[in-house]
Amino acid sequence: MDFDGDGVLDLVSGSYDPGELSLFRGKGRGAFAAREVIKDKSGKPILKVPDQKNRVESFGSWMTLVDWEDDGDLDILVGTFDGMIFMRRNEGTRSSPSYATGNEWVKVGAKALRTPGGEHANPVIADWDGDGHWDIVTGAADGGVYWYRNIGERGRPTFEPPVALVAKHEGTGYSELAADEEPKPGIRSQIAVTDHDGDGKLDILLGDFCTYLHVRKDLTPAQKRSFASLREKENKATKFLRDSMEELRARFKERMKGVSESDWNTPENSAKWQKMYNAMKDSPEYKKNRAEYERLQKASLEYIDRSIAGKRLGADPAVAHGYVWLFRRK
Amino acid sequence: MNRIKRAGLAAAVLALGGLAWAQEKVPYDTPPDEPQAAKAGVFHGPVRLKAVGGVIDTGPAWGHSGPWVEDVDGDGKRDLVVGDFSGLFHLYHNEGTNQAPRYAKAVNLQAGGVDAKVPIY
Repeated sequence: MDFDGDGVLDLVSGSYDPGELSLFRGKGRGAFAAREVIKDKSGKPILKVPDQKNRVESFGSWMTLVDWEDDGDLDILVGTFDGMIFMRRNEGTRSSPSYATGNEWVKVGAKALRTPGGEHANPVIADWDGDGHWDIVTGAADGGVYWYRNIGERGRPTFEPPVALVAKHEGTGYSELAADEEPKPGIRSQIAVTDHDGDGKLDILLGDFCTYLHVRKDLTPAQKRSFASLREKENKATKFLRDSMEELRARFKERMKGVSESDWNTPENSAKWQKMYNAMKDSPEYKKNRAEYERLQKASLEYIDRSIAGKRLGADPAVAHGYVWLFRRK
Repeated sequence: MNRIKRAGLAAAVLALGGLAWAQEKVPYDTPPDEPQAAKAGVFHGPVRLKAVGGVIDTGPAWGHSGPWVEDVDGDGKRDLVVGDFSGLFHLYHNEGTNQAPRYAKAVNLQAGGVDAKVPIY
């Protein structure tokens, strides 16, 4: 994207921690200048929580540029870790942007837009239905791709509830069995909408994440049964650990009743969380399941095909992958 | 703020229709949107993109592929850039055409003489 309207391609990106927005100004022919943090007109980095006391408050951002107001300059859209999108209005010009200090949350009807599943939003601007108005298309943590159709007018975008273009991933995205045939797209979809094959129709590129167990193909029937039994026991232990975290979060939320969620990260409340978390981890039941989980992970290693997993195979028998899937429009 | 400026600001806000709403606090309690189900038969595939070395896989860098298509070097052919959990940007130069892209081995985009990188953790 051309951030500063000088006709030279620039590179912009969000990030995970601390979630600041980065600009690498293009110098032409694929060369870029050193990274700059994108700031608002008061000199503060553009963040979900501009006055954060704790750097994790704004972590997980994805950015794109769009002329929201149809006034000839580009505004910034930022997708957040919790699946929402805020806009920072450009109060300057195309070549000399100057961004507002306050976040304006993108809405669907009367409420803020929040991606299905409620986690991650990587907004991309594309006129998906070719009606002359740019729409928002986004990936999400659940692996789906969602189209928010713009039914407003120029300078006054209005978004409809989302239509899934790609269904969400079925499964946790962790320790999935690698099948013989092509895998399916994983979780945490990050997308591009582009005419990939130059046929005049917009396609979708979907980047994903998933960890797979690459099981050896030479296992005997007895070994297959042993491995299946290990998996079943591990799933039980994992479920207990996950449920414990869910229950801990619910208890913390209860404890924080009456406290605005934006204050949950204060040093005082973080300490409360830490104490509750440590108590959970030190409980006999949790320790037992944790130990069992680690024992089963280790025992699984001998069933894994090391020629595929390679050096990446550590204590976890599952190995991470991140593919780029092409959904070519018919 | 004097009267004229204030009136001008109010007019500007009205004109913009308030379809994004300014609010300092994050609207945390917002329920997620319910999507309409995906229709079948819209796309071919999906298939995983390949480059010279085989299927493109950011797994060694803990995955989380973030693709983008753009003609990076200005030769008229659209290239592929893929970010991942390392915070680096991998450029796959298109050695084919815009109708049939063929991606070369990845190189890291350079910024200011070093690999372009965003902080991840």
